[in-house]
Amino acid sequence: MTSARFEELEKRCAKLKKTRIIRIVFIIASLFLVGFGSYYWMSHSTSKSLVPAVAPMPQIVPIQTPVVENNESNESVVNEEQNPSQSTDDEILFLAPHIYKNDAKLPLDETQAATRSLSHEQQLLKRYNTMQNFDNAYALAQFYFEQKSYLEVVTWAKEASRHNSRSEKPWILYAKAKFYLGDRAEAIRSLELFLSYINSKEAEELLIFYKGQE
Amino acid sequence: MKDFEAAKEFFKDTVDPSFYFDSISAEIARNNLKEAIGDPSIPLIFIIGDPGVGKSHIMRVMHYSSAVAANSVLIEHPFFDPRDLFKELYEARGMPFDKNKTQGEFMDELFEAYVGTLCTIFIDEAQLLNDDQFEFLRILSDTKLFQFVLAMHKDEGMALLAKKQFKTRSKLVIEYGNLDENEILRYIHTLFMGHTHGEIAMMFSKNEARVIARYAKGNFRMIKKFLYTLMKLLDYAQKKGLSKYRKLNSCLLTMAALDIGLIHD
Repeated sequence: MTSARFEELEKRCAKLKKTRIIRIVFIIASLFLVGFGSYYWMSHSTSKSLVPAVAPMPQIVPIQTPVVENNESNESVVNEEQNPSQSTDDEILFLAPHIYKNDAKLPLDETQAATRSLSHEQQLLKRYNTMQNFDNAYALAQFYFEQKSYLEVVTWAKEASRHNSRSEKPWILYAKAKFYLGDRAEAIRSLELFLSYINSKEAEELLIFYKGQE
Repeated sequence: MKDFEAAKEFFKDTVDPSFYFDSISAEIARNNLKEAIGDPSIPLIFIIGDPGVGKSHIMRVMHYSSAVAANSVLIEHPFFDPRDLFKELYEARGMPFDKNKTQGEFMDELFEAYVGTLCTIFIDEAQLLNDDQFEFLRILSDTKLFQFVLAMHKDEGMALLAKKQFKTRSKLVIEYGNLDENEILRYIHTLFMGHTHGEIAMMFSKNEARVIARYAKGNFRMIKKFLYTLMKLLDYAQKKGLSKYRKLNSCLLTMAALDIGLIHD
């Protein structure tokens, strides 16, 4: 055994040791990342399914870009709907903290109904994202109206109207939503605005009804 | 001062039939061979295993054992001409060999010389024999005067045994396995203790044996090679006064494995 050979082996050994350490660190880091990722994914998916059950608020659906139209009434609508969504942010954080995910015990019926509703909503959103047209947007507005999520109704009624401005249906839903949100004046104004362009018996009857509620 | 220089000599790649290590595989093989040798109902014995597991060693051990030596022939390298085998058999009986005779004459003379006795012929590296030579061995074994012990590599041995002419014959197949870590440790301790190198023997614990087993995959020849290199490294470190290598450590074991190419960086 020569000195040169011994030293060479020593160096190779040190190099090998270093490589092994790096490999071990890499494996540990990978395992940690996979573990953490799985945990995050599991906790995230669990909390997501509980949100509608605890607080079936419209805030969980991403707010669509508001329609820019030439009338003032719509501009005011945008401002109005953004403000409530900001004000309810705290509420969402409070209602869906992770600490409740395991303790939340809802009645079975409610849980099932919420799950069904969420599934339907996801389906409608998916359909709209696949094909952005009047029918899909109006279906979402209708869905939120049934769910009494009136802020969402406003958004999706406007979206539906953007695709077909001559249809009375989104305007009527919009007016109803505004009325239920307590903004009777805006409901009347929007119906009047629509009727000044297009004749609609249903819109007219609704306008008369709202005016009679004074 | 430990004598690593002398210790490394035990691990030179030579076959010394005077030394026998009773590993599980070796013991099984030895007992089976002891029972089968001399039994005319088993004309063919196959010892199969990976290269370096100890097939050649057990053949020599058995050949030189007093019970068999008088009536056995060891052929360390396969013959390429049947006359080479005849020559060995003639010489074993002290008969003059004339290579110009025909195969029939050889056979007649050998039958006369060997009649009444069962001669055991050990052939090492038998995987190198061709089909004709195997057929020749088969014919000889059918005379019930010769018994063949054939050592060959595992893959070739399995392929040969699957052949029709051997499939139906009565034979004994002994498969030689590798050493596990406990056997390796026992081997090292036995060898060093038996040669008054107790201090060196004590340097090895189960951990070192496990590492050696992992690097050498339990192959006996590779273990010897590994230990030879390790002794060289320890000898160098001791002569140069390298305190870091006064005891066995993982680095020394890795260096030995690197030196003989068991691992690559």
